[in-house]
Amino acid sequence: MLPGPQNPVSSIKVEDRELGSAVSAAIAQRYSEPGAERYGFTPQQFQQIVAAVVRRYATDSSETEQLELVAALRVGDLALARACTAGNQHAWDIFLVRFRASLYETAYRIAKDDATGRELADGLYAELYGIPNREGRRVSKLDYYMGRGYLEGWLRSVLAQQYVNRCRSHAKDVSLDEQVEAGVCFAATPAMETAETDDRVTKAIFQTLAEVTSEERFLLASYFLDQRTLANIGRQLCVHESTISRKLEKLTGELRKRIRKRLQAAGINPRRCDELLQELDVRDLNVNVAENLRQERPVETF
Amino acid sequence: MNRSDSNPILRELVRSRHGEPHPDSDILSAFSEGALLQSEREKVMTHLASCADCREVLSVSAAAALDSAGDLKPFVLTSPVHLPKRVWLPWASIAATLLVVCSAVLVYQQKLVPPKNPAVANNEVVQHPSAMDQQLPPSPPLKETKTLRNNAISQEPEQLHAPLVSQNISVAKAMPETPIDAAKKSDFRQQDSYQTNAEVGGISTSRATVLKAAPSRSISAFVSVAPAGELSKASIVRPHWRINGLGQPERSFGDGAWQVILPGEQSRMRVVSVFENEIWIGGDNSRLYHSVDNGTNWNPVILPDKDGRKHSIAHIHFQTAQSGTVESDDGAAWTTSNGGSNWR
Repeated sequence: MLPGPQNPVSSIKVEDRELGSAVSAAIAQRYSEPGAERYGFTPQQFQQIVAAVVRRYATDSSETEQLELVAALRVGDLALARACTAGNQHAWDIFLVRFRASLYETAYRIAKDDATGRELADGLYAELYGIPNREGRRVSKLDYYMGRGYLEGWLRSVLAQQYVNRCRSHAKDVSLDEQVEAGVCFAATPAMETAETDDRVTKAIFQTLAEVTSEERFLLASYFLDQRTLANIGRQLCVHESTISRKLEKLTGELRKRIRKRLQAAGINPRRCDELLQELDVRDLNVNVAENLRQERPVETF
Repeated sequence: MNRSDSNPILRELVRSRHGEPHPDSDILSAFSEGALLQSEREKVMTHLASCADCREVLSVSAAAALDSAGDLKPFVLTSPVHLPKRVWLPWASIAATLLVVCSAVLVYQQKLVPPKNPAVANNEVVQHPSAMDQQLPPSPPLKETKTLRNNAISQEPEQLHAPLVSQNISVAKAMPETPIDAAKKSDFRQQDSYQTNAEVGGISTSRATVLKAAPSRSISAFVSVAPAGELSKASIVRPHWRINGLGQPERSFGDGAWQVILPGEQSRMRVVSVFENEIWIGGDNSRLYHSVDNGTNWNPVILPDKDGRKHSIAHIHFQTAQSGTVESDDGAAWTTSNGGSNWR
C-alpha cells in the first residue's frame, strides 16, 4: 500500500462548483490516466488540483478553452509534484529517480561550469524539498508547478531563470579598482549622433515598425537584437530552424517593401527609394524603436 | 550586445522595458513545448517581443534542452534530392567494418606467434606452395603436412602450431586447382614476400603470404564472423526511410531492397520523421500519415484547415511521442500535444 499524501491540496481553497459540468467531466476522465491514482489521490482531490489550475489560467476563458486546457495538462507530472509537496515518500522516490540526475546535468549544461552548476542544482533541490516559512510550514517550490508543460521542462526553466538572475546580480558587482584601471570612471560621455536623415525615411520606418505583429517583433528582437541562432529561436518556438530562417527572410523583405512603398507614397521616385535604402545607415536614424515595439496594451497577470 | 552600442535601433530595443509581470516558468516551459492555448501563446509572444529578460531565460532553457535532447532528435529527411550523395555511405561502412575485422584477426594471430626462433623461421619453406605441391601427395593432406611440419619445427610444442598449420594447408591445397600460370604468379608473389618478410621471420610472415596469395578466401572467411551478423540484425530492428525521386516514401531493412510505402498516394511526399517506433510522413496537399508500428500500418491524419487552402508539409518535429509540430513551406504550423489526436 502506497503512503497517501498528508494534505495534497492544502493550498487549494477555491470551490470546484464554479467550473462547468463538461470541464469537471473532462477532469474526471483524466483521472483514469496513469498518475493521480498512483500517488494516492482520490478523484475529489484530483478534481480540486486540476480545477485550481484551470481557475488560475482560464477563469475568464470559454468552456472550449477550458476543455482544451484540461486536455493539454500534464496530469501525471502535476500529480507527482503535488504528492511530493504533500510529503508522499513514494512520490519523492519517483521524483528522485526521474529528475535528480537530469537536474544536475541540466544545471551543468546551463552554467557550463561544474561548481556553479552544482550550486544551482543544490539550491533548487533545497527549494523543491521545501523551506520552512514563518509559521514553520514547509513550502516547496513544486507548489508553483501547474502542469502546463512537462515537469522536466519546468525544472529547466526554473534553473535557467535562477542562472540568469545570478548572472545579473553578479554583473552589478564591479570592482572599482578594475574600473579605474580600465579608465571607465573617467571616460567621456559619448556624444549623441547628430547626422541628419531624411525625415520621410524616419517616418516610413517608424510606421512600418509599428505595424509588425508580436511574433514578428519577437523574431526581429531575438535574431537582430539578442543575436540568437536560428536553431535556438526555433527551439524556443517549437519549430524547425529553417522555418525561422524562411520567416525572417520573408519578414525583412516585406518590411523593406513596405518602407519602400511608403517612401514612394511620400513623393520619392522608385530609383531614389532604392538609393536611400542602400545608403541608409541605421546609426543615423532617430527612431524611437522602443516606442514602436512597445506592446499595444498592458499584459495581464499570467 | 556590441552592435547595440552604435546602433540606435538596438540601443532603444535594449532600453525597451515595461512594467507588466513576467510569465512564470511554467508558462515559459509550456510555451517552448507548444502546449499553451492560442490566446495565451499570443499573449506570451507579445510579452517576449519586448522583454529581453524573458527572452534570455527562454533561450538559456532552450539551449539546455537542445543539448539534452540531442540523442533523441528525430531523424528527419527533408530533402530527398541529397540522397544520391549518400549512396556510398553503406558501402563505406561495410568496407570499414571488414577492415576492422580483418585487422583484429591479424592482430590476434600475431599475438599467438612466439618470439623469433631460428627453428620456426624454417617454417617458411614448409609454407611455400610450390614446395608443398611437390612434397605433399594429394590425399590425405592434413596428416602428411603435420608430419612435415613436425619434422621442420621439431623443437617447438606441437599444440601451439598444429592449428595454424592446418589452416595453411587448406590454402595450399587450393592452389593446384587454379590455372598453372596463376599459380606461378602467386608463387612469384609469395617469393617476393618471403624475401621481404624473411627479415621478420616467424609463422606470421608466412601467414601474411598466404593471405596475399588467396585474399578472396580469407575475406570470405572473415565475413562470416559474428559482427557482420550483429550488424544485419541491428539493421532489421531499425528500418531505414527515404523518399524517392517520385516523392514516394520507401522503407528498407538494411538488405538494400527498398519497399514503397503508401503506393496508392498520389500526392508527393516531402518529409519523413521517425521518433522511436512512430513514423510520420508529410507532403503536398496537406497530406500527413502516421504509423505507430515502424510503418506496418498507416493512418491518414487530417490537419485543421488554415487559410482555406492546401499546404505542402515541409517539417515534422516531435519533442516527445506525444508533443510535436508540423510545418508547411509557407509558414503554417500545426501543433499536437496528444500524439496527433488533436491539432491546432
